[in-house]
Amino acid sequence: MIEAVKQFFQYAFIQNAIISAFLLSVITGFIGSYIVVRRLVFLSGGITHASFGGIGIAWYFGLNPILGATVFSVFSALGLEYLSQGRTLREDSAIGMLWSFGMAVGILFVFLTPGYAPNLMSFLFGSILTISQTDILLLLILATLTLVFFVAFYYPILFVAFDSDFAKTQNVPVKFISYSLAVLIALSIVFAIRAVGIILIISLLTIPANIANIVTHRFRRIIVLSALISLFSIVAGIAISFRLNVPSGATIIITMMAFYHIAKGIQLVRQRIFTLKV
Amino acid sequence: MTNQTDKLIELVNVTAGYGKNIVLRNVNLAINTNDFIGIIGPNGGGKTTLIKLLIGQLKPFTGEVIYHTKGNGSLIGYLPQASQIDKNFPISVREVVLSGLLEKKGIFGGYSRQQKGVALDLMKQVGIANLQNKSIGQLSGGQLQRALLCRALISAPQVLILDEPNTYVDSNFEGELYEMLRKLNERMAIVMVSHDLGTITSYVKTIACVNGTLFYHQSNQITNEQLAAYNCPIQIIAHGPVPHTVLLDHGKENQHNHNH
Repeated sequence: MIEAVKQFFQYAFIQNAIISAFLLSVITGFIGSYIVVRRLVFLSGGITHASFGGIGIAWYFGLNPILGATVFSVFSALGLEYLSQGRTLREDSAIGMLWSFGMAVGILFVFLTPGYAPNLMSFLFGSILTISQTDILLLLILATLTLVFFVAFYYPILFVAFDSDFAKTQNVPVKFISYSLAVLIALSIVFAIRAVGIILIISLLTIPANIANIVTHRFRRIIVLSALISLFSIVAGIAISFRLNVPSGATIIITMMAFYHIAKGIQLVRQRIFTLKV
Repeated sequence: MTNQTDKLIELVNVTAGYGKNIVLRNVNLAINTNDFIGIIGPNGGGKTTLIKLLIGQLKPFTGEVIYHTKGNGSLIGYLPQASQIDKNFPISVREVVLSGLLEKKGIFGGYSRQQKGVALDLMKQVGIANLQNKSIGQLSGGQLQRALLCRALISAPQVLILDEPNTYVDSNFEGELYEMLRKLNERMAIVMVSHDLGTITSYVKTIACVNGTLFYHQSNQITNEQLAAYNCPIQIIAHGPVPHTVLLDHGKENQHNHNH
């Protein structure tokens, strides 16, 4: 058993995967908590899928797909944030249209690209085990940026998320905070694509924060706890997928959902016991 | 009774709405020191739009909203309807109250011992000091509204804007709330939206009827006939010790706008 664990950690690709897991956990701890408490999960899903349009176009022109995804997701995030400040369009409809339009553009351009697209699956489902040094460097930069932003603006972020109308009356730079976070959400999504893929990204942003929210009702603690849950789930998921030789992205998410149900179960049992005592 | 320097917020010929929809036309209103204005009007008449204009959340299509900031207090303290608050949001009562101080604290750093003291005093005044470490999801509607009132007051604003403050408040706090507002009115102007004209007329000094535009009524006594003239179909509900439907002969029926 110990030998197996030792062997597991000796592989360079496993080490890379664990470093990225750590960085991803920092990013999704902050961004995921914000998305969940501000109820932006659907919006994040929209940005994620819209970014596929960028991947397809970049693919067709022989550019770096991540670059294409970055451009698409940042612009769709800013656009959706802008739309949400006016009242002219139903926000969920705007997200739905952007979501399907991005996917359609992506599929069309991938189809038009001559030859076989071998790495396409890795964008849809991700593969944390084949993550490159460049990807790790990008994750490191984004993790640092996110950490600095949240530490510097913790209270304004909390209060804008809680009640942006009131924050505005207090001269909080609501627009600066909202747009900065929209960009950070978009970047986190793009950089996490390599690890878990477009289809599964939303899970990294939502499940850990929701597990954390079962245990605590403080934003600060949700951030820390969800980062720890992410890290643990990703490493456990990689280990399991390695053992069973199944896709890592899917295994990570199933692991997280298992933790979610365990946490919910414990909460239910505790409530029962509490009710019995009373 | 007032002069130029007393004005705190002014709406000058404001027309506003959403998209292509105009909700309010040609609104003129000045909020002065010591004012206690009750805003009434039917649903959809523009009460919420007026509030959004006052707190700067909505920019007018035409006309101007002028803020006369002076002194070192913050200008506006705002109490939204409790229903606008996401009760599942992970935030403690004390954090909610302290969030009213953001303007003074600046963006970085935490809260001083003195600021936390002010927050605690306010929570004691409204009877929620024992709840300060609870998350807002654990509060009743009335308790949440009190926390939001503390948040509006903690920056010692010059104008307190209240949107339906009596919606969730339990009846035994309602009386206390209005007495508290009466005392606060010695230090700050108050603008209060309410459905409940009966309560409004017992406490406010003047009434603004909002229904597509704004009619300013220089008294807290208003008759059904006047309401009809202002195109403001609101039922006067009689309760409390003060008589509410009082026929007045003050010759101000035709004075629609706030002229100082």
